[in-house]
Amino acid sequence: MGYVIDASLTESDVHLSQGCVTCHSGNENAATRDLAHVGLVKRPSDDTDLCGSCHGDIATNYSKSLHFTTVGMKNGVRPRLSATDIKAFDGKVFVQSCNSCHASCGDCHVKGPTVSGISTGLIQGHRFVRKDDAKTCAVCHNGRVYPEFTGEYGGNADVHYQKGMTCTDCHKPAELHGPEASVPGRKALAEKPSCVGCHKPEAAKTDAAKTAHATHAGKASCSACHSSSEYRNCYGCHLGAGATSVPGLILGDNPRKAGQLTTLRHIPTVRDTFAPAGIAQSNYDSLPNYWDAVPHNTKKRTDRTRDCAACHVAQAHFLKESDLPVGGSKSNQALIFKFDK
Amino acid sequence: MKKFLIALIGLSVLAPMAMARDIASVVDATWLEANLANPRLVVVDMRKVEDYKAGHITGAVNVIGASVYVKAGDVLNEVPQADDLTDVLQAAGINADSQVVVVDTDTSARLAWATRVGWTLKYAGLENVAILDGGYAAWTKASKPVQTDPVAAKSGSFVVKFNPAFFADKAYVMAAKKAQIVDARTYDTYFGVSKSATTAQFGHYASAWPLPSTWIATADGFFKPKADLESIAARLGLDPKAETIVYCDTGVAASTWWWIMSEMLGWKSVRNFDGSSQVLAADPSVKYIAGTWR
Ligand code: HEC
Ligand code: HEC
Ligand code: HEC
Ligand code: HEC
Ligand code: HEC
Ligand code: HEC
Ligand code: HEC
Ligand code: HEC
Repeated sequence: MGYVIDASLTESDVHLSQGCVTCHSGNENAATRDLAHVGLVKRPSDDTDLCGSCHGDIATNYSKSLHFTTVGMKNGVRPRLSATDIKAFDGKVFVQSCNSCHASCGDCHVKGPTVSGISTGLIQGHRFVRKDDAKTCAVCHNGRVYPEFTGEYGGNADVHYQKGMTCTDCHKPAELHGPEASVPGRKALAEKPSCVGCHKPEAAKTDAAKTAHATHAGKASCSACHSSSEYRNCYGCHLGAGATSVPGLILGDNPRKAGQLTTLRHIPTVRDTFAPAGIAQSNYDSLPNYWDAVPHNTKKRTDRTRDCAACHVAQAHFLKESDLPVGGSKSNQALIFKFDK
Repeated sequence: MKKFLIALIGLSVLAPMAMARDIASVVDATWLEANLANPRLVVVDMRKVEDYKAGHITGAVNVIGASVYVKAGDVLNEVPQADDLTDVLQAAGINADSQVVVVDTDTSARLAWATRVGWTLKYAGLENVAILDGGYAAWTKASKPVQTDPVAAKSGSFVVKFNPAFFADKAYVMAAKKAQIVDARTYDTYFGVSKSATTAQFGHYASAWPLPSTWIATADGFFKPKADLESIAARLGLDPKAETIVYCDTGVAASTWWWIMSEMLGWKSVRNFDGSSQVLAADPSVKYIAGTWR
């Protein structure tokens, strides 16, 4: 069903009027399905030049984007690897385990991506749609972001979703189609959403909010107060076997901005994650097991906005020595937040 | 003089409670279409944002279910705090005198979620709350008017004031020795051959009557006629005049029979146990009973 093509599009749509073989190859004049499908290309837009013949700029940028190259994942583990490890990683692990998840143009514009062998099929009978967040973004980001955003994971929907916003209201083509020059990871992107890009903390409606914002500027991230509930934290990933996920809301020192309290997410890479591929991670301790995260479960009010004592007295959700994973990275210690005085 | 004063006080206390509902508890697509232009009407579409944006009843606002039932601590599907719920209802354009019609996908699989939202709005202090029979599925099947543009409501003024008479917590249930307790889960769960992951014990709370939520809808996904529902409760031996408390696993399925008894049949004292088995069966001092019927 999901693969039925809307016949009216074959003439009206500028894309389909080219004829199927321009994009999918195969043989139009063959007598049987098997013969027609000889040489068939299932994912034509993996070749960005195909779309690039008409959407030149988008395709040129996109070939450098994180969604296409997935180098963000590669660079995320790289500092842990020795020079020989890196070679083995790039050759064996990266191609099979990371790059296999990369997005083609069609994954966002034509067909719901296939995840774990399951596909929802073509969007609107092979129309080239501008966006369909639920059938595209949600399918690949179904582990954490999307279910956290809608409240299916954690039980508290993001206020932006409550107000009718979806992924592409914040994540724009300038971010998703990629930057003009390639970047090592998403933190280096110039075009990406930020809370203060849309909200002026000093312009809040109530004095209580204004004061809370003024006192904590630079000291606590927006999510430290406004992340409403537990989000997904993954532990103990082993190549081929996957990781286990545990819900948690974790506050600690920002590994990218020391001295700022923020929400941390545990990532699943353990010392022997890549052991099955013979990769040692000689510099494992150079990176912590947690990274600063912007959980997509923002609410105006949380246990912390309701009560200053949640942080200043109870230190609720603060990462503690006893929470640290056994045998974890030695860099984790630095993430335990300590008030100045 | 003193008597007179007491009478006066009594009246002023009763007055807001006595305000009668002026919309049926369950409305159908024909009624709703005929009343769409009514300025007091607020159609609340509780489906996901993506579904709402793909098409909804003309003029309907989107209040996703997850705005009305939230996780609190470890407990699923709880009523939000009053200020949060007030924000949500005001943003939907709801005033104290609004006639609110709750719309979910359909009334078969999703019926309990619609009545759960309905119960929460009643508990929040709104008088005129109805459920659209058959949900959005029945509306589109009847080719009624739809639109895709989201509706931005003019902010309403309703302020949540919970009505404790519709609510039970664990302490209340355990102290309510005379109340008839109704278990809205399936026979399997009641008897204890299966249980939900959120409930710690097999079986049911002592003296509970089994009255599954799945009995309230017809095969094609509408509420059964009032007389049929009334007779199910009567045949089980429930007393419409006695205090009744309905529970299930997380207080969602229970809201179906709460809705029917309190809103449709007009029973005077019916409470939904919001925390339900998730809270009750987690208490080791409470022993659920498995392997017996009532
Ligand atoms: C032959 C030239 C051509 C090729 C090749 C082409 N496009 Fe297009 N595309 C167009 C034109 C022209 C439009 C504008 C159509 C319009 O405005 O109706 C367009 C519009 C679009 C849109 C926006 C649709 C909308 O509703 O606004 C998307 C998305 C898109 N193309 C994706 C792709 C992808 C992905 C590929 C590669 C698989 C591709 N295109 C290949 C010519 C092309
Ligand atoms: C085919 C699967 C797939 C689809 C579809 C997809 N993503 Fe991604 N997304 C990924 C992967 C894999 C990464 C990690 C890339 C990296 O950094 O290496 C990622 C990274 C991101 C990032 C961080 C990097 C950046 O470019 O800013 C954002 C934001 C994001 N996705 C949003 C979206 C949104 C919004 C949509 C829908 C319009 C979407 N994604 C659709 C797989 C997908
Ligand atoms: C990660 C998801 C994602 C991927 C992959 C992606 N796009 Fe887009 N694209 C978007 C979003 C989001 C929009 C903006 C939709 C909107 O808000 O109208 C967009 C818009 C467009 C448009 C409409 C015109 C415009 O500039 O806004 C075209 C054409 C287009 N994309 C082509 C492509 C092509 C060609 C590729 C591959 C080279 C591609 N896209 C890859 C997400 C993606
Ligand atoms: C302009 C290029 C273009 C044309 C022309 C085109 N397609 Fe596609 N088709 C795509 C893209 C892009 C995808 C999504 C896969 C991807 O991401 O590249 C796709 C996906 C499909 C799929 C799903 C493949 C799978 O198994 O996942 C089918 C089936 C399909 N197309 C059939 C057709 C038919 C039949 C025609 C002719 C009527 C046609 N396509 C014409 C670009 C095109
Ligand atoms: C209200 C705005 C907003 C909406 C809506 C939104 N995001 Fe984000 N998103 C952000 C911000 C802010 C960041 C953090 C950017 C940074 O790291 O500086 C982010 C980061 C991300 C990241 C990278 C970080 C991570 O956790 O992997 C991904 C992936 C992502 N968003 C996907 C999505 C998807 C998918 C949706 C829709 C379900 C979505 N976002 C909806 C604002 C938004
Ligand atoms: C692309 C712009 C954009 C981004 C990025 C964004 N927001 Fe929002 N935010 C909005 C809009 C629009 C609303 C809805 C305003 C309304 O309807 O009153 C909103 C609503 C809110 C509200 C509820 C306000 C209220 O009065 O109820 C809070 C709290 C909030 N955002 C916090 C954040 C935080 C924290 C971040 C970063 C994680 C963030 N926002 C990122 C646009 C954005
Ligand atoms: C120390 C805790 C704290 C931090 C950090 C914090 N906020 Fe707030 N925020 C509050 C409190 C308290 C309120 C008022 C909540 C209420 O009305 O009950 C609030 C309210 C808001 C609102 C609703 C505004 C309104 O006009 O009522 C927005 C939007 C918001 N914050 C955005 C942000 C952004 C963006 C950041 C990061 C720059 C941030 N907050 C950081 C505590 C905090
Ligand atoms: C999310 C946790 C959190 C919450 C909630 C929170 N704070 Fe803080 N607060 C911090 C952190 C972190 C600092 C910086 C302390 C440091 O660097 O030692 C801080 C610092 C302060 C300072 C010292 C500011 C300065 O200039 O040194 C004051 C005063 C303060 N908070 C008051 C409040 C009040 C009042 C509230 C309630 C409205 C509140 N805080 C809620 C985390 C929090």
